[in-house]
Amino acid sequence: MEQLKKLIQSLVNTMTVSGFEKTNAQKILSVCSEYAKGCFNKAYVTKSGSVVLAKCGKGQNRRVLAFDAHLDTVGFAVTELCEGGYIRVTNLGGIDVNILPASEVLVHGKKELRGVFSSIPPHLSRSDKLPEINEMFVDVGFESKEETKKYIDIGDPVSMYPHVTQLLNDRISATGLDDKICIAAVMHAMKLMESLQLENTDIYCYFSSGEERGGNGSYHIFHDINPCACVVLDVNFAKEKGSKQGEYGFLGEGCMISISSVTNPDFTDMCRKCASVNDIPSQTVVEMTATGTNADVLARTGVGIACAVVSVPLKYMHSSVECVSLEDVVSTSKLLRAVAMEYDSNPLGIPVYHKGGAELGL
Amino acid sequence: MNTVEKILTSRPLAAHSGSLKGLLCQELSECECEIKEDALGNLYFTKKFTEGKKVMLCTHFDVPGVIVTFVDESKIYVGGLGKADVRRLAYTKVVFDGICGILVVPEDYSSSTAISDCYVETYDKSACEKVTAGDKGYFDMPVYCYSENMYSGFGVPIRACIATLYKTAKEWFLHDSAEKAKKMGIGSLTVAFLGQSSLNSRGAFVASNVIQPDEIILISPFDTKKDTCGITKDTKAVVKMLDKAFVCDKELADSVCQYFEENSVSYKKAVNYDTDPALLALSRADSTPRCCEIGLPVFSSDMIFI
Amino acid sequence: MDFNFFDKDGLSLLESLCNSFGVSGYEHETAQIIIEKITPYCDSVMVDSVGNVIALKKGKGQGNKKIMLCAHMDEVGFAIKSINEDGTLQIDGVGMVSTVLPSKRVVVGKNRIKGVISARPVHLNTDKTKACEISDLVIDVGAKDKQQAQALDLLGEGACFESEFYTFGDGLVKAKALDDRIGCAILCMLTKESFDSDIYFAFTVGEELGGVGAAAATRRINPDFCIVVEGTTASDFDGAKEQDKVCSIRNGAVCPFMDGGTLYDKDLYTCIHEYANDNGIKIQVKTKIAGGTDAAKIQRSLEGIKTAVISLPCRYIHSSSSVAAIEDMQSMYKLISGVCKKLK
Repeated sequence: MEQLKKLIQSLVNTMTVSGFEKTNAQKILSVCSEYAKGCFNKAYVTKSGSVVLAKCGKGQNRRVLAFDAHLDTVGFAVTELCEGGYIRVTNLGGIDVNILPASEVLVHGKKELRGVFSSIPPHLSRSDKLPEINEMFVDVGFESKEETKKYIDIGDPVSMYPHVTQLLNDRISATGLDDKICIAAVMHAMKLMESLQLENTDIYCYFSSGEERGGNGSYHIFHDINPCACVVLDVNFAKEKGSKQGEYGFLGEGCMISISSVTNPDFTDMCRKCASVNDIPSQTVVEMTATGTNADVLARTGVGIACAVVSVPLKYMHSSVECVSLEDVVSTSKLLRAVAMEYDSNPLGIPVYHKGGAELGL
Repeated sequence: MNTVEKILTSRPLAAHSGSLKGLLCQELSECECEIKEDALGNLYFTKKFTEGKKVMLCTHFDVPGVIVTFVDESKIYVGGLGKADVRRLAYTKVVFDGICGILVVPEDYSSSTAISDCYVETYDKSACEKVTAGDKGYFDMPVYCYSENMYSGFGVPIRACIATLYKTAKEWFLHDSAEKAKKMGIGSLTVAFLGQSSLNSRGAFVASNVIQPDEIILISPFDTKKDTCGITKDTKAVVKMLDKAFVCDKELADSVCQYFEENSVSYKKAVNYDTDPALLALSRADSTPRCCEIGLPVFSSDMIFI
Repeated sequence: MDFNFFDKDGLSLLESLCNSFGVSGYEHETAQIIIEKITPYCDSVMVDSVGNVIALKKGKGQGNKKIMLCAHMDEVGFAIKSINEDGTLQIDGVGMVSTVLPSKRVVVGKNRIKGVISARPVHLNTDKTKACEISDLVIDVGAKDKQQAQALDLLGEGACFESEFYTFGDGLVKAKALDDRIGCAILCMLTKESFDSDIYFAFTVGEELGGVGAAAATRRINPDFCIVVEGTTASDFDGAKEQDKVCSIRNGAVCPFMDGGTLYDKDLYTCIHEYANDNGIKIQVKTKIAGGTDAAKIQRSLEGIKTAVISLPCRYIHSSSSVAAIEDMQSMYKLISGVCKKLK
């Protein structure tokens, strides 16, 4: 558990604001390789900035099973350098302006600089209405534009100041757990599978870029590794104040398995069975129209990829205090291991040929 | 009138680029480049050099127009091809093939009125009989030229981008550019004009699949209304670093900036709050291209400096 | 050779397809009916990773074009999101379900349990003019409490309208899901004919959710042409202005030049209209640009595909009771069959 916490800390500390994944993709690769040493045959960074780690099976004619988690987090980028030494930013990915006043950020210019979002003190505020993000300032501590210009340029990424805080029980709160907690879950799963030798399956951990901006990275998964099936790991809503009925899971009650039009029903059933057979706590959530994850993209990529969506329940999504239960993370890892083993002996057999075969060009 | 002027002032285009397509093909036919057109109306001019990366420069090809949906005696009901502010187009001349009329807008029209809420009044029932559903029409709006390099009018920014790419194509394709290409590491250069661009950039999705480039640079009008980076009328180009949905490849953007520095082109780095859907679409090709956008600054309403 | 929808075969196929359970994401039953029907007549039949049924019928001729015919198997419906304390089921709308939901009968889940969508008792209704939101409605299967409902294992299952297929009036049909079971029926019947070109039949999933399966099917097939066979909205009500009607029933197959943002291929569109006019087949265009189809996703796949749409005008589309004319179905069939034979 301690090692898992250290992995999460390293991941959180590495900046991967959506759109700037290439900057630190190599670092993420080494952090992951370090944690699950000896569990991989291949590790590399793709052209689009996604990180790939693969564990190959023994036999001939192997199928590719992918675990996709997205490597990017929401963040900001510098839009303007103001006269008084302040900077303005815009958000990359959906962020609620409510959380911003007085938030701490880290500006990644020529140097890493700390900054604070402006806020109007209660004594002076006249209305309840919040400003728009392009009306707010980030104070980086300089007096003039000349000073800021030395270190910061337009278009530089800005991330929420990273921290990992231990709460009661086994819950932690940190920035960027969407979706780094799933990267940790996948790495932990690979570690659990260290001694496992698979026959017919290659497992590819594909940490895609650009999910927060519409899933750009996973458009390339087909071209990069051509998976037969893919488990999409993302975070999903855990019950908190204001949750709508039927659209959340519970923190601490296991990983969430989604039922959706973009998930393959046979593959989803396999995941649910693996959970119940192996006594792994899991919950079901129904998101028929769209899951809001990379699965929406994967079903439409290439010639279609069979997906299942497994999520870690998370509270306070897209804020700097995202909260998860480490028990759920371990459940997710155990489920991935069980699914990998099941898929190895029992691949889904899709696509199904009722008549004729691939020789006719289909 | 030289070709650049022709491009800027020729009859406006709807989502069919007939006359301009002809002009470009004619002018570039002597250039020994491969000319290709695909099912969505994208037009490609490619020249191969020796070894190196595949680069694609592209821009949008068409300007918002209308399409006939229903003819009722002398009134022609239309749908919009592309988004345009109805407030600018109210009571302007709309031209179809051989007939023209006035765009009549509802009395309470505003910025949210759609073109499909309006109709074209021709006052000519017999001429309307020649028009059928599916015919395209364009807004016949004047292009004003204030001085040698100052133009404005509806659709001028897009045509300025087309003119810029035309000049680039001419320069690279006509003269012997093999040396230049080698120095920059370019193996093949494609200049692409994206069709159906007023319809959410449909052409863009397909363009990068057809060419499979390694690098893509999109030339697009850059609206300076919300500018926060000090763009003036002397700024020739804006290197767009990002917008809300797309972050341009940093290395590519930096190399473009460097090129501008080396060639003394006045430029500014900027950020756009609006998103150009073409960039997103272009970047999704299998060849995983690196993408970047260069904006031509547009001032007040469609005023642009060449 | 001339197919006639008026005879029992075509109508009964349409009936079994319309009555089948095929909400977006749960298209299995409809897919099975289709696979059974077309396998004897096709050279290759497969189901891909997202659930599309794709079949190939090789042409008699040599080196001809690849034509793709596309129809979507899914219909609008509901998914069971959660179970309420009182045993009723909380639902999510799947696809653009119309607002005419209260007081309709439904069929729920893989065991096809009967249920009803709650109606607001007119006595308790405070604001009679406001339409219900889906979050106000529940499905009641008669369970006494949450426990009994949970035992039925309905979480995540789908629900579709329960609607009897019948003919009425003067050659009209009423059924649920005419959009797009008519497309599926026409495609199935077309597999019985023979063509010069290779014809690929793609029965896609998830069209009502924005075209989930269409792009994947297109990339697998890589056709030269594509004709999407759909159902479209006819607003030919009494008193509607001509330009607002979109299209009318009994006026023939609909072949539009444009749909919400997709301009169809000019050559293919002209070819279809010419064939119709030369052969006395009734054809109409849409007077208003509305709606979207799989064609949007197909057209921009790969290197751009020449696409057109041929639709059935349907009244009250996306509800439990859509209405269409048999003569329009007949026109559509003749038109598609003829155009496919002409395209080389």
